Amino acid sequence: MEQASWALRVFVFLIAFFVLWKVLRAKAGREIYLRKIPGLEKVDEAVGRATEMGRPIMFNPGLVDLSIELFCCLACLSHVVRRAAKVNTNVLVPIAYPLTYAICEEFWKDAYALEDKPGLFNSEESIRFFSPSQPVFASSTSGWMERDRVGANFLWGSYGWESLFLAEAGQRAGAIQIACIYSYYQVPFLIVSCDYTAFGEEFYAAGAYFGRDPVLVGSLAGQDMSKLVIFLLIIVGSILAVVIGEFNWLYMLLYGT
Amino acid sequence: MNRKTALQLALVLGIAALFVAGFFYHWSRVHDNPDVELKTRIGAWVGAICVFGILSYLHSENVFYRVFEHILLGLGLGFTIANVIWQVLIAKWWEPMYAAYKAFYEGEATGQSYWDACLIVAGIFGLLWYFQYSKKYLWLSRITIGVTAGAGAGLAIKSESIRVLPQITSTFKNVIIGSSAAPHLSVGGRFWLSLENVLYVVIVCCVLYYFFFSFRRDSALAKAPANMGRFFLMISFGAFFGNTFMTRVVILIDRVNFLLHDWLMVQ
Repeated sequence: MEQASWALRVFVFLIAFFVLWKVLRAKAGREIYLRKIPGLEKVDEAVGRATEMGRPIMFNPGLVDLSIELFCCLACLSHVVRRAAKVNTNVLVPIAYPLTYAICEEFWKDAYALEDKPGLFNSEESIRFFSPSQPVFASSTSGWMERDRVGANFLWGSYGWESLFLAEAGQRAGAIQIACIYSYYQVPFLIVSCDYTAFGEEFYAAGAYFGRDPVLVGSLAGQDMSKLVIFLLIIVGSILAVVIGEFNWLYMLLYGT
Repeated sequence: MNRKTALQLALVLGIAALFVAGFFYHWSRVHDNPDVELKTRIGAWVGAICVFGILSYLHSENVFYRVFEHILLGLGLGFTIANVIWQVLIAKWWEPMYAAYKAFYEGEATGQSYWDACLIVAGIFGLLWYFQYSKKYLWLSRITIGVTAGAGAGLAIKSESIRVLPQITSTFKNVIIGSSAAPHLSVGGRFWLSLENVLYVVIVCCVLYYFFFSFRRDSALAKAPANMGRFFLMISFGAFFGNTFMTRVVILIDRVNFLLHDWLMVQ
């Protein structure tokens, strides 16, 4: 069986410790600062604009399967649906994987219910399962987007080459577009074709940013602490590489040899 | 007839004209290529029609495109279902489980048979998903969703941790390369390698700094590394853009090659 090295065990323990520490602090009522993320600031504005135009909103999680990224998407989906529910606007969700379908539907229904508007829209018409195949998902989603003339398009998840195809369809439908994506290879295409783009770690931070839930905010602050440890390790490792050599004791320790 | 309908009609007529021209050209080339089988020709024709159907989207969302969109959707979905049935349900679940129970029945069970027999639990567990359709027993499906989501998160944490540590160690760069570290390099070569390593470490640190969310950056000094990080990211995005654009052009060339060689049989 595959065994983790001691360094990896300490590393995972450290991350868990920082996250728990910060979550407990947040739950105790300590205010945790979160910097502004420009792309995410515009989400409510996009929902408002779609409502003014009398058009539905599309929240597209792309080809995201059962993974950490899905949970980040769900927190944002919940936020967007709740905002839309307040102003009686429908949120359309194209889905690529069967497992994701059931989970997204649950969140979608819960969000409308939380705003005291269960049954305002039909989930079977608003949440559609297409296929995990990229060309199929891209062509079906873009066709749906143009036919329903969406007013706001949230590209929020995992995409391959179809990212530009989807953004182009949203642009032709005249929608305000906000992209939030963790795959760096697709970021340039979304930057040039969307109105606002958040990328990389900002994608993972979005859930905490919207909800301000103590657990999520604390978890984000805990991850920042872990990143600080990585930052310091890189500095110390580089200094040791100059003084001792690249394959120094810290390198060996972390590499597990 | 409004402008949009007229444009769509013109598009359909244009594609039809293209096909008629293509048909006659193809026919004229058939005698020069007697070895090409009829089914290959039919396949090329179907492929060409699909390519034009999907490419018609470049003009707008139209009827022609919609037909091929739904064909593609049906095919993709059918393929996924068939794949799940044959590659997952039958190959990974039914066959080993059936073999295990058969071995028990015939008294030839091994250690693996006990594990394979347990697959029935996975089957029952999977069936709980279908309680999504029952308002009364919806909570049963949530058990499966919860366990599947938890297992997914656990596996993701494991894979991320294994991925991150080697990335950290590969960032430990010697930023002042002396003659002992690289004796085979000249002074100029060592200088450029040192500069490369300095840039590597600085870029990694600045980009990492950009993604801190809970630390305040009020002063100009605190903002500077984050701004530099964003600047470096934009440079890398530019490089990605160019690189990926070239890939897309290659895909387009492949389709044009298909139309010219396989469909029109241009030598």
